[in-house]
Amino acid sequence: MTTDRLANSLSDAAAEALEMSAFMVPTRNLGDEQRAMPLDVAVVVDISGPRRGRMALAVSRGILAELAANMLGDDVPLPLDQQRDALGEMLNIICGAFLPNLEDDDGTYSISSPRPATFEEESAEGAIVVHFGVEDGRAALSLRLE
Amino acid sequence: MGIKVLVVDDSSVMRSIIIKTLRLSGLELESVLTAGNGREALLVLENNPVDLALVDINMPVMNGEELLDAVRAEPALEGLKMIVVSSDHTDARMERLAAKGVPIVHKPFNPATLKETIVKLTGAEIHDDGPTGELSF
Repeated sequence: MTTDRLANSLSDAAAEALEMSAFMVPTRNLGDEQRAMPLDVAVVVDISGPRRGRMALAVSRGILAELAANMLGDDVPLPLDQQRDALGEMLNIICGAFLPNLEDDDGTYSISSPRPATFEEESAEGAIVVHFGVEDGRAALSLRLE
Repeated sequence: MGIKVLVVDDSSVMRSIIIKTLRLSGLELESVLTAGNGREALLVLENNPVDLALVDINMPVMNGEELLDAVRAEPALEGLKMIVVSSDHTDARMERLAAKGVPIVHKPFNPATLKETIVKLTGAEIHDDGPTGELSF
């Protein structure tokens, strides 16, 4: 599968997961303000199976609280560790939805538990990176396959 | 009378999401219990009669497939209905689960999808109110 097709599959998986699990509709067209926003919080999972790799998800802090609240259905603000857990679960969902798009899909994949990450490292050279505008913030997804 | 549900997932966030989705689905629920893995689920089931278990696959200690096998091997749990709720969409896993005759709900899912699968499996009634009781393991 080409890099463009992988990026599109990543984007589709992220859009479906964000919309269904957090009631947020991402867009690939980011405004200038969104592009300038830092990706403050990131999580990563390891992928093992027919292909091995890592997938990471990062968001600007402004949308993290809303994403977590929408996922968990809580009206009260959640502590940062629960917000990060929600982000990790969102990544888990996106990764699970994406994996069947890999050509080598005749085996069973495992996804590790999400853990905190530094998105600069995860999105360094060799990774496929997709950026989204989400509400008034920004999110990004990276995939690195061995 | 509503149904008694056990939610088995190692992620506390996902357990909360599933419970929220159950509430939104309009199903009549008598109680919702939770467990963090298959082993904990079996302990819950020892002392709590449950109609339906919603089970994740990738879990530590005892995963969802192992739990399915353990439940099937226990005559006392013969009436327990099970649905796999998993982010794993890969063909090999789905084929194994299909061979066990277990319905699968893929994450992400919405209340309508979950409700449809539960009603089809259990014949559960639809109700506008939330659960009347909720316990945690």
